[in-house]
Amino acid sequence: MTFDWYIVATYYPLFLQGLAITLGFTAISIVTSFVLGVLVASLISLRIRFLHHILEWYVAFFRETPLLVQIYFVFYALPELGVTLSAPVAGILSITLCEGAFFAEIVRGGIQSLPQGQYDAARALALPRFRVLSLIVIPQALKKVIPSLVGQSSIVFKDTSLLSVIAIEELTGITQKINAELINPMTTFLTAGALYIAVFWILNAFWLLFERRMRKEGSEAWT
Amino acid sequence: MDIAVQISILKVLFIKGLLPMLKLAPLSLVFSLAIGVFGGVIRLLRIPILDQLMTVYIAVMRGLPILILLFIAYFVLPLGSNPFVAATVALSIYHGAYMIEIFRGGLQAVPIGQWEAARAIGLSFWRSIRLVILPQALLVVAPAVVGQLVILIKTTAVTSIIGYVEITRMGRSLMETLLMPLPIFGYIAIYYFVICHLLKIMGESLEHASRRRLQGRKGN
Repeated sequence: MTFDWYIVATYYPLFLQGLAITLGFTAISIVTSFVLGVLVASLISLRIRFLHHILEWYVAFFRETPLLVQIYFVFYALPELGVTLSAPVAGILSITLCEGAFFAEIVRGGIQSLPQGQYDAARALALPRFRVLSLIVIPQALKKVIPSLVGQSSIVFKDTSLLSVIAIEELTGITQKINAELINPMTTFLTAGALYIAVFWILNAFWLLFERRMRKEGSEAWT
Repeated sequence: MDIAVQISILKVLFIKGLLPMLKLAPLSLVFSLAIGVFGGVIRLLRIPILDQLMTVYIAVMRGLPILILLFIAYFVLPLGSNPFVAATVALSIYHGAYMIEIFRGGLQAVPIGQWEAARAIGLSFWRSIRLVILPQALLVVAPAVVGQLVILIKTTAVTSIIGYVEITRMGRSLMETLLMPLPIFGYIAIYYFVICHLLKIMGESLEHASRRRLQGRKGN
């Protein structure tokens, strides 16, 4: 078994198609996870009785169990409770629940690092709690944790490879399919691996630009 | 829901699932720690060529999903198509890359005076690392290592896909015969959560302890 460039040359449209699907799932999941994470972190910071305990347990539970088990749970066990989801929806839902918990933890860290003076000043202006959160706390907290948010987004990209277990043909899934046909794992999996690494670092470069831009804009708007 | 059935599911998951996982995780941890120590020293000293190789190695591991690495270890590397061996190798080199960064940070945190003192009393390079520097660096890196161990344990679930029979794999086959995915995957999640949560609590207390020790040292 050797690396066969001919396979790469013939099958590259399929690999690229898989990559496009991976990127689609990544983009959707980053948005949904981010929204969930901010929402959960905000609700936790309001310290509403019971609710904040439940949310803290949610964050702990989803951060400390494997995503793969969560995917199986959403796809195979939820139908038993009357919730049957298609593979793509189940996939996005499980990544969102898992990564939402990670994003929530990051944002919560940002909220906790804000100086007490910010709250005091907001209260002195007689702002209602919700507006303190949306106008003062969240924007500043997010700005502080941009690097962590960006790092977590890169992890979402790699996480989508697990969606292949519920028959979604993203890059990993389609690579397995091509490999089942050709039985040349050296070519197929190394090609997929190279694509993942290349795109990961391209995305990272974009994040870095985005981060720098946000910081510049942020410093004008908020300081 | 028959209680006896539930108990036997929990038991099977423990014996045929959790124990094989607890065989894989510590072994991979030891290998990844070894990679971390050697890689950390190489990065710290900026040993030419080896340091560049480490940079590439870390970049590759960071960009690669663990599932693809497992496929490569299982199907491509000449490891005898043994899922356990492939899983151990893949997890070790994957987490080893993260351990290198952790150890480099820990080694850097040891004051330069400690190095000079170790060499001044005539210890060889590797002995001063082993006897003087590493014990102090370990104190610094312990919480981060525990954090990485939690991630490692979560990635052992992925080894089920290349056919290593651990708790997630066991859950899938139980589901196919018993057709009860809800309790099965619920129990599996709880098993993982208990282990990871205990480790996290341990990591937090280690962090407190190491911070106290480090502050104490500065006070002296």
